[in-house]
Amino acid sequence: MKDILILTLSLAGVCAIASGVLALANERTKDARAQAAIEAKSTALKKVLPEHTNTPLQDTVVVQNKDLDTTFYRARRDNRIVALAGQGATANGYGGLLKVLVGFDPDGTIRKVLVTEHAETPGLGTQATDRRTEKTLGDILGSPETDKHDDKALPPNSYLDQYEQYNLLNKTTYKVKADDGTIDAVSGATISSRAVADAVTHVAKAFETHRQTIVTAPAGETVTTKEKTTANTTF
Amino acid sequence: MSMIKEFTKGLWQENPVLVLLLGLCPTLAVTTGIRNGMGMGLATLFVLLGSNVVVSLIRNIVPKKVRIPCYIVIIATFVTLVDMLTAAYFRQLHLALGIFIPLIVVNCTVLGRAEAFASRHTLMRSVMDALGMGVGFTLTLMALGGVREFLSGGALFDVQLIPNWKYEFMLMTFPPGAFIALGFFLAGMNWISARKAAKDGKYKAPAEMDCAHCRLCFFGDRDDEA
Repeated sequence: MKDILILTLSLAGVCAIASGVLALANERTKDARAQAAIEAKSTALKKVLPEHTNTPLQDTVVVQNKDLDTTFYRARRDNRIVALAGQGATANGYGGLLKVLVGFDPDGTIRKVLVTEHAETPGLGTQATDRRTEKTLGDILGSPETDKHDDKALPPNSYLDQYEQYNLLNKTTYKVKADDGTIDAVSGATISSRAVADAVTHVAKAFETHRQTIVTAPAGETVTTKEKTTANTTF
Repeated sequence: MSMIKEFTKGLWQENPVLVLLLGLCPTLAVTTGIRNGMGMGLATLFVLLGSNVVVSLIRNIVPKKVRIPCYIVIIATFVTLVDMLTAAYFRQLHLALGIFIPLIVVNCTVLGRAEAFASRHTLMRSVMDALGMGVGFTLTLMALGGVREFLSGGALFDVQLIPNWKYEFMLMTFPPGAFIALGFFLAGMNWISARKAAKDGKYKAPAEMDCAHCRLCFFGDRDDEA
């Protein structure tokens, strides 16, 4: 009996110290982490949007629905919307949550698709999510003047780039070919490809349903979709 | 054993992957490229160092019966700490390692070293052990990742070594490819160790595999028997 008490207390003690350390670390790093996340988001927005004069990060409209929220960022030049970026999320990634940022023109034409948050398997699922600069030995050994890589431009990703041929208003449901859709999935990474298509579908559905509000509403507006958006969640 | 020896044993003699065969899940899963291997290895090194230090410090306080749950809590704490600290102050590193960090909790190498080494040795020795094991783990993952990355796409560190290598050897990107590559690594490791032992005169083949007892071919040392 006394033995059990000692064992319980010592394990509880270790757990208490561990949670104390974690709580302290969480408190201390909370602001820095939030700051880093904001910086990462504004860098991502710069990459999918054309030149603008406002701060899209603060000029947002949130579309709430039964699934995860979709946030729209508006890029303006001389107070006129030149492009929008929609952040859609899905929980159907191979590693759970996956977020995409879709940059598009006010008429719905997709400019760029960028995966901003994911937990896909490195090397496999990331083929459908990461944009990596292709480098060769020549690029490294070559002189800096001949360096043709533009740091501002997004490196290509053949999977993500295929979305640029579509228009969010004309096509609201994106499915990979395995699900009778039109998107070419990355072989070996069907689930990750499907998740990206799913997240883009959320953005398209939200934009199609609430186009007027998204374009005209004041910053910080939240609209709610009553019915559940039926995304391609069939497996 | 000297301090240096505690460090170097992790590199070869007691290499966590190739000899102890620990932590195979992350080994097989993330070594699709040399960069991923390095990321996973370094993240593990951090956690291994932290957990070994704490486990060694509290080894005489924690009752033996609840030591394993305690070690798990300590390891999980360090993993979360590393995750939070890199997210806050080393954004680039976190982007590169972010995915690997939660995987470390389930890495047997960390728990294995806590139980087999740190819980029985002094702080200094545990630190050296953690560094050696961590570096050995990292190097092995980098080697495996390098072989797989090169075979699958002719690249190393995401740099295309052979231009226009369009043919993709997809098998090497998948986990079965990792198994095959690891098999060759283990075979090579065993072959080198056996050769070394034979040179030192310490090698003794199992009876059923010993050429001295078999007349089918003419390998092996028959002079011993005569």
